[in-house]
Amino acid sequence: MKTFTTIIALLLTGQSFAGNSAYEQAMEAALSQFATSKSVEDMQSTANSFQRIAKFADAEWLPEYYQAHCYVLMSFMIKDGAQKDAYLDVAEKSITKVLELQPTNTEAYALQAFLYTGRLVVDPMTRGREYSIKSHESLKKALAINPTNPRALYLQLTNEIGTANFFGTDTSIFCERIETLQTNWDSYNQVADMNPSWGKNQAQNLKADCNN
Amino acid sequence: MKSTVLVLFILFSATLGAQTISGVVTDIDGNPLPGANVYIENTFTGTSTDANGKYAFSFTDTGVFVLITEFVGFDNHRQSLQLLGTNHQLAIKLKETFNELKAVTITAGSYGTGKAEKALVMSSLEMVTTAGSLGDINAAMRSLPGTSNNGESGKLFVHGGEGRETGTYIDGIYVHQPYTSSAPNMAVRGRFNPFMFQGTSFSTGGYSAEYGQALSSVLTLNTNDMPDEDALNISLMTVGGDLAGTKKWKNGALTVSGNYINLKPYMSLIPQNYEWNKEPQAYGGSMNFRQKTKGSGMFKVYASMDQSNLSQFQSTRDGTSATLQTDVQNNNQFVNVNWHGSPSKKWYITIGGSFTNNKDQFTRRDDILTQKMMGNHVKGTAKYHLSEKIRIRGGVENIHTDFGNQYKRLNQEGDSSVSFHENLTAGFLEAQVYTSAKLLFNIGVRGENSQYLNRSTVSPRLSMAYKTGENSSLSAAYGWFYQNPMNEHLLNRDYLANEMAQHYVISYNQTIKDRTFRTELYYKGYQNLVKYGNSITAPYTNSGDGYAYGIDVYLKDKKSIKNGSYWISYSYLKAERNFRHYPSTATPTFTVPHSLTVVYKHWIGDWRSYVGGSFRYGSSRVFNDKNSAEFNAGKLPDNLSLDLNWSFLYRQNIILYASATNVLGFEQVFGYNYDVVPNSEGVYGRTPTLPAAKSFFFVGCFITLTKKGETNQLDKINF
Repeated sequence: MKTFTTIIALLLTGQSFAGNSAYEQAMEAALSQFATSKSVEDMQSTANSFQRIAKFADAEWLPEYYQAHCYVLMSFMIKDGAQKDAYLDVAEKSITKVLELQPTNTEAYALQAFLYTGRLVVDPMTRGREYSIKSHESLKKALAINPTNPRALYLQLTNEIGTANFFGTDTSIFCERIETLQTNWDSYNQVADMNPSWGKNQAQNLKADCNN
Repeated sequence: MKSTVLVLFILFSATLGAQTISGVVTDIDGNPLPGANVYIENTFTGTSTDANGKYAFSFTDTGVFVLITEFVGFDNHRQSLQLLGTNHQLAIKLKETFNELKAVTITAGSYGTGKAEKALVMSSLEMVTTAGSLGDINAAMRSLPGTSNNGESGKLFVHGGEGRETGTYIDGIYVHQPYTSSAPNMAVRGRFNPFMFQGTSFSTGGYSAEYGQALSSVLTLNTNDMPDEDALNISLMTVGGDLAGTKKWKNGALTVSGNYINLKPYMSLIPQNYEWNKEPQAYGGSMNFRQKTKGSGMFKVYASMDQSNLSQFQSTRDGTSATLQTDVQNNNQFVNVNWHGSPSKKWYITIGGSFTNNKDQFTRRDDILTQKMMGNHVKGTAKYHLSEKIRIRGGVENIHTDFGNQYKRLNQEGDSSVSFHENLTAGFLEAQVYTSAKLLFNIGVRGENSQYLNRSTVSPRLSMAYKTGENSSLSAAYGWFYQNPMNEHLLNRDYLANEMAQHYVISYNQTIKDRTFRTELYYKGYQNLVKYGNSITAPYTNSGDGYAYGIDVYLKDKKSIKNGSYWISYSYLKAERNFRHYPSTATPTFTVPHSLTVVYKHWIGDWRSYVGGSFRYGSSRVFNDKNSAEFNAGKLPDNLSLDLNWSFLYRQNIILYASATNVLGFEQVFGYNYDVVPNSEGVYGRTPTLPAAKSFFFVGCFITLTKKGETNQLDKINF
């Protein structure tokens, strides 16, 4: 029934039928919306788009992943702690679903680490220890599956640099690793189609910090 | 395939004129909800609402479809639509999801700390960084309103009640001996390390029917669940040291610790108010075991053994300057075992028990008093979720206490002993009912039977809360509370009745972001208090009574000052009693009419330091001037103190900590001890009851070693 409806939907919306499936079309539209989302409002709308796709194409992990990514990013865009947690609750559910679909998904674990950092930020006073350990554990899992997942490597670096900055210890020891990540980003980042590919710009910023 | 498509195309081409589905999404009160997701089930078609809650999208299909509306924090809305190619205009109202975390909570009488409690007032880790608390849970709690500072005791005095009227519970299990032992008129400390607990809540009245044997307050401590990782904690302090090792496995963990405290080196450096024969010394060990069980259950065992002793010279109170050596020796063994779990989604069960064996020996010249207490507690509770908004909770328990005093004279045959055995059986039942997210009722009843006193009591407990606004609530509590007379009074006097208090509490709470304001008004009536009579057959009666009323004000602000937080507690208290040796109704000596505490903490990033200060003020208390005809008419000076502390994060896993109490050196007097006989002019001489020293200075170094070497004790200083 679902395929039938998909075909009809496709037909009736007059979309090209030649190459891409309706799912891919919807994903592409949502991804381009994602690329231009600047505000929380934009991001909410983009998250909704991914959610609609996730609901219908429920065997796909990407829409759930991107929905979670949107909500994690949204949590970093606002100040209110309770609302941050509400966003992260949604993201957490989506990541759980991705891991149910694909228990060894390196990107899902990397995103999970990012989510835990979001949880930590809400109340570093009481959550600092618990979530820094959780974030660390998730990154370990991501890198066990794919030792060159650039997003996991990037998040690991930010966590470590953050701690070093806090303690005023030397951060120049990280420069080599940042450099390696930078140079190899494209070779590490062998992503298929619509798979997660974010992080290059952020890693660039990390390098800028290092040079200062 | 192609032909099918073609057929379909032709079939549906008649309805190709797209229909628009539009409208507005609001909450129940009609406020627009921007960002809601509106879509047609089993399609990719849909949109998000705009800033005005409006949505519009076109859809070309016809037939019966379901329109779904979703928004974070609201229940999903489903609506069946018959689509015939004409435009649809739909106003959708979303109902806020019933979320207990957002629903109103009863704040009357309740102060919570730590993540286990919803009414966050003070994070449990914050206790140790509260200047002046010196790692003592009770001292940290005394910075909250409703409490008063009684420097000679160290216990928790709440809403006009004495320290003994506060009951301590660990994971719901009664603690027979929550305080350390000390010399007469020297402050005691809580036995437990604040780091053992993930949540600490403290009630100023009107508490749940679950708790008995407390006339004024309960301090409920919830122990930590699983530790994060294997670790070795080393504490080096000016007064001693502590070593704790934690080993973690998949579903369990074990922590073993040992400590040794000796105040001799410190006390020989800093001038003391009292002369010591042997400075306080203590050593002990503890074991903490945790194992996860099926269905998110957890089994915990805590066991400790402690020994302490001290020997002090105290006034003979015979009008001369002679002093008398007083020795105090304490041995304590404590075990607390409990399990909690959910056999099914709707049930939550707890089963637990505790065992205490405590021995205090006081030696004064040739007199030896040995006080032995053995107690145990067994308790089981069950909570049933009748529905989303109704919960029923019940439990049964048995508290057993063996208490005995033995008097003996040194170098003399024989002794005299008195003891009693109490077996208290109790049960409670309570219902928590949300009539909406705005209104909550908690109705409970508790029954107790005392075998020793041969009496039964029934206590109703009622509380309710109403959400008066987005961030504010009003709550009220009422209840009857019973407690056995103190152990010393119960010896050989099984005709006594349980002492009783009635609480009336109204509280208003407002929390906006990180600012909390709370005020509480209360009245407490005491009945059946033990009073000393003249009759030889009944030297003690239950004819005592009393009352207390007052108002508490609390303001906590973590927002206004960057990297800083502060709270201010003020309590007004008016109390009178006619009990024990009182000739008539009078203000008790432990009543502090005005109490003010201001606590400030500041994180200085550049110094990796967390610094804090507390200012405490307690207005003049009364004391009984033996040279005055009027009872309890003497006035002590006001009690003031400024305490400071500083935590420095030297390395990720090394913290240096320093604190000092009463840095301005205010004169503190907690009362007077009068001579037993008057001098030749008929005047009773007196000696003031003072703190052990004017100020207390503490320096410590806390080291955590882990395999990874990455963990730190950041949480321990709570920046």
